[in-house]
Amino acid sequence: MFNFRVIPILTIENGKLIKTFNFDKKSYVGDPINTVKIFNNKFVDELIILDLSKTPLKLNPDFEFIESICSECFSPITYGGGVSKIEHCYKLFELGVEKIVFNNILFNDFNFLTDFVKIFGSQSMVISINTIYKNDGYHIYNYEKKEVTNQRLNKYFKEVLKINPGEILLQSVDRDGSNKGLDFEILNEIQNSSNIPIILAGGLKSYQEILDAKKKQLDAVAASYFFTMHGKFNSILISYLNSKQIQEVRE
Amino acid sequence: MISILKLKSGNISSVANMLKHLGHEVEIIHSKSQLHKVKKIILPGIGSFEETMNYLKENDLIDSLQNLILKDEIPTLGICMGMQILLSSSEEGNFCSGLSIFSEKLKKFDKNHSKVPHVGWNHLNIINSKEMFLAEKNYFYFSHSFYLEDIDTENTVGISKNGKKFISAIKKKNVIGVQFHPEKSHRYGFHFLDYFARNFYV
Repeated sequence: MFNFRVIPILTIENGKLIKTFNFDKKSYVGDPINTVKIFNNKFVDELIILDLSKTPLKLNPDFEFIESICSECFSPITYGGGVSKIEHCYKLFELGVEKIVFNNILFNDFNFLTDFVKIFGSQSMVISINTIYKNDGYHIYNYEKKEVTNQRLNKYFKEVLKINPGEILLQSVDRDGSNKGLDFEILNEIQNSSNIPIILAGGLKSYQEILDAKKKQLDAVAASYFFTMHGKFNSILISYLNSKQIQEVRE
Repeated sequence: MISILKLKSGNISSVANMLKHLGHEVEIIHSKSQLHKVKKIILPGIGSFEETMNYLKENDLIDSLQNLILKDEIPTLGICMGMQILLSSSEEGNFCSGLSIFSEKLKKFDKNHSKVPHVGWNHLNIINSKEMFLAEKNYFYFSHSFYLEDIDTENTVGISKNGKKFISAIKKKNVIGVQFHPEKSHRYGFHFLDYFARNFYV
């Protein structure tokens, strides 16, 4: 009924487009506005923009930057980074952001999220869950503190559902910045009883894998490395599905 | 010049951005006094039906909008909530009345049969007015919980499906209403908005 989505994730730091590896080591990719223009010309399904330089330093979103992104993109934009007040959200929606993604605020301000859903509705909220595999299973990763927490993914996932978000962005930290392939095992770890849409990210390696993901009842896959880098020297190459592939993924 | 009426809540910058990108002149208007010189108008908007209608009431916009659409036959496009308020009433907000340009009513999607809210890219099957659309198969971005059910109406232009079929585009003379967001639907939106700006009811 719905069209499966393929979503590039653009990670931003101080106004620059960067690529992280395992949520840590970073590499400069290029100018974000220009990159958004390229994806826009390729008729991208949606874009996820994550500004990593805001939350750790307790900074507000860079509204001017977001405005320039929104004026270049004619597909839905999901934004995350530094959103800590309801007034930020009003402003972001006014600029043309479609959904807001939250992550760290879950560790410290649950009430903010329930207020958000009351005001803007579930469909405007994406919760990002970063998970990493340790000896005894999947754990939650706190990127702000750069540490693996004791929280187990399956339990945490149940907690997140209580907020009633519109979608979950499920990211594998160990596969971030690699092309080792998506970690479909994560899906066996969670009980998605409410059938909430899931966007799986981390390690996407091929077009074939996108088709595999579609068969697994996922709603979308997202990737940054796959759409911005290429080859063993991590050369920069902004790419997206070609029009034949877009058609095939949709059918 | 295309005028976009700023309703209480709503993302008007995306609509304005796309029209500008297509090379059209755009102005944002908010008051009754600005309505009389309008040549082509877009009613965007998100939020609830009741809230939007109350806002129009408080700002004395209801009669002027009805006159502008029905008497002056100004080409009008309603997007999402901007389309819903063109209808006669909604199940949302105690069957509150709308502008009644179309006699159809809005219903809420039933959780047992449909995804609520209906958010994402979906097909649009063209019933009428092919020229408004890019291709035989069209995809648009949707985000809504209420829908127009009477799909057999002569005004139906496009139909989509979320568990059950609903009207995703409706047209009567100088008025088009669309449930989807052309401003977020890249090439499908480009074609549709450009058609409205250039060719619709001129």
